[in-house]
Amino acid sequence: MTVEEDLAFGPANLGLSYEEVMRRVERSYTDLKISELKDRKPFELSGGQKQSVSIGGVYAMLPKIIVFDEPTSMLDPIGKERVFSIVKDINKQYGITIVLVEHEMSEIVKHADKVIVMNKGQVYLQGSVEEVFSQVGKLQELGLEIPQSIELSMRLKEDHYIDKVLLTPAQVIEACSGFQPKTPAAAAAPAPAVKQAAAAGDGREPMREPIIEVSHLRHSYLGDHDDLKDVNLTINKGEFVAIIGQNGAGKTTLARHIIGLLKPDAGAITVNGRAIADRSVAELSREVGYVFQNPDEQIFTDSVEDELRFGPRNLNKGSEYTDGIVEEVLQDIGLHKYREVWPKYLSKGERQRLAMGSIITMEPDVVIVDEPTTGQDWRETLWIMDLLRKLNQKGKTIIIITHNMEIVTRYCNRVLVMSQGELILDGTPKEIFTRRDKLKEAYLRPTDITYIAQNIAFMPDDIISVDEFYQVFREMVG
Amino acid sequence: MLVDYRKRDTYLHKTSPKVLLLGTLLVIVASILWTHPLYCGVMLGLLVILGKVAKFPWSQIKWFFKIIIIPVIFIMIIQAFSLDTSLLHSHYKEVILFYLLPGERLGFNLGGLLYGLAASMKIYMVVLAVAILGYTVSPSDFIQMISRLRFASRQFVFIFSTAWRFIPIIQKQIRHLLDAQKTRGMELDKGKLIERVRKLIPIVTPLLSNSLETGDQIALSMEARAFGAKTKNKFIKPMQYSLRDRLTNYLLLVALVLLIYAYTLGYGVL
Ligand SMILES: Nc1ncnc2c1ncn2[C@@H]1O[C@H](COP(=O)(O)OP(=O)(O)OP(=O)(O)O)[C@@H](O)[C@H]1O
Ligand SMILES: [Mg+2]
Repeated sequence: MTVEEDLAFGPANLGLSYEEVMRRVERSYTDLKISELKDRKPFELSGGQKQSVSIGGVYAMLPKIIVFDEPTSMLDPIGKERVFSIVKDINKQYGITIVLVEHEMSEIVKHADKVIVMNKGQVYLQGSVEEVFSQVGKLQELGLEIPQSIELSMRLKEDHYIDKVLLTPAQVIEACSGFQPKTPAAAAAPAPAVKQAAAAGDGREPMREPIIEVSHLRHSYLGDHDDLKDVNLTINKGEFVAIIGQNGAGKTTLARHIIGLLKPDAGAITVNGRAIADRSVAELSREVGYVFQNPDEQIFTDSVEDELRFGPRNLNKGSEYTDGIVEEVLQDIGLHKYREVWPKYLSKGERQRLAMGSIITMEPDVVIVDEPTTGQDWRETLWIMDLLRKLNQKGKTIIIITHNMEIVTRYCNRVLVMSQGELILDGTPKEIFTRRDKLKEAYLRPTDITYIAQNIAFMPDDIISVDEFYQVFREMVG
Repeated sequence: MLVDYRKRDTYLHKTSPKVLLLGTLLVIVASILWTHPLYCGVMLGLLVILGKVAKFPWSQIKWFFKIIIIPVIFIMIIQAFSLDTSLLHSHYKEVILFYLLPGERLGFNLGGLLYGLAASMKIYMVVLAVAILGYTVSPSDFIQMISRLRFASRQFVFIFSTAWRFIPIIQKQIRHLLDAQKTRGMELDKGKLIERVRKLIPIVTPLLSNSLETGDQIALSMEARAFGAKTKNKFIKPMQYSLRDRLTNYLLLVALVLLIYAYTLGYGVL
């Protein structure tokens, strides 16, 4: 089975002619920008690439109604945008009804005609985007994310800069651009004090002691092209690092090398100063923990508690220790009520936390989490990230792989950007998100708040939070 | 499956699956009839050239050839000492290279050695031919070929194609389970073979439950994509059968007949 054949499966079953099927298949992979994957096998793709292919399969069928259940949870920002614009197109062009289940509020605000908010099996709110998002208080009560554009415009309204809450970044940019900065000098150099205060993370300087060193790493899955090309990097003890990059950039591949699940074609990796080449994954698991991109690949025992015990038992940590840590982690991941439950019965968010918990109980020095927050609602996202921050404060080195730029700016003190198997940027969130050219090259996009600031002439380029935006804005406009 | 299908733009990939199947058949017949290492050597050479043309991923099959090298050498030595040389026609059977035991007993017979050599080469021949076939012909083309056979009922085609989909999924699940256990401190890469096998026992239960679930999942996703809809599936990939294919096909048929005829005359026999 190739991707092309997979895309053809649905339309072929509908009884369409060969030519019509192929026409649709071709449109499907061109529109989704996955043409270069058409001869590949669906199993051998990155997480996001798989998601694109499954969207393509449905798209090629052109049914009257399409229900998407978090279709873009693993897509990179540009890929997300692309899917939403395709969805909008087919909605207009063919009058297809789209039902979209989504956690990402900023996308809903930009695209939906009607929003339904559900809570505990019931419809809680419904109406147009304006109607629903004007009830911000109710949304916050449910732990839903408030898009940055709305959060900012609420603040601006409170202080009477504007007279109504705005929804999309474009509207906010328009409204703010109408203001004049007090002095041109203020515009040129924003107060450094503000910059300091808003820096991501908790401001502690990580120790400059290398824990992971990767040098000249090269890997090729199929032998015809390199999926990692000459990657070099050093990660220090106590850092909180984010690896970002478009789908298929090689993030997961890099992580799997660090834990030894993949062997490099060339280059070397050391952990705690020791080469990992001839150490087994099991040995390394004492030092490096890796939480898979898909939690269902990681979970295999019959109960939540067994899952958490499996690791420490293999490491011969002793029963007293194990009992203690298992209790602690059960509380931390909020699954103490489910200790006897078969993991398959848990929700996606719970399974994700369980997979993470199963690694944390082993207390490795480095925890690598591959997309920790996909498929989680905003409250769960913050919970997971706070848990990781707590570990970081205890001295663990944390590496997350993510497509969510907001959590990058909120939690990480270092960002690595990958593109087509190469590391193209390395710096703090502020440094990274001002490199617009490079980001574009990597098919990335900053968060809405950074985007808004970058598109208002007098605002600095490196704003990464709503608080920071608001302070700078007030200082400038008065 | 030894080597996975890859879509590539090579001469062999463009050849009709029917022709490739006939070619593989030819190699199998040759391997049954021939006992002469020279003939087998030529055939192996041809296969290697074909593999080169098709950009065959040698690295994927290397491990297999390595594993069987020891039994292969073993076969050759055993044959050299023990083959009933009256079966052979060539004069090599009279050449004794040395005796293992004093008093001219247990002679190392050149004829036997060559016979063993041919036998080993035949293993490589068939494995390589089948691997190249699997690598150049897409599974769905196979399925389409089978569905055109007269004896193939709809159910048969369905079961066959679903099973085909299932195999890589199960392979993948096994890999995931092993990976998951390794990342949780389970030592699966080291230790004695017996120990390693014993450690695989805990994956059996999750594997079974996963497979059942996967079966459900596949059925569901196939149904969601209109599988089994009342409409007739008119999607038939036009199979190209070019003039070149036709010619190659005849050529192979002639070669097959010649090969058998020559065998009756004693060619290819040691
Ligand atoms: N098992 C595999 N066999 C062949 N190619 C693979 C395999 N796994 C990944 N690849 C390819 O390697 C490249 C890097 O994949 P990787 O999974 O590292 O991407 P990623 O950056 O994690 O992407 P995503 O954001 O979609 O998870 C991609 O082009 C992908 O198609
Ligand atoms: Mg990935």
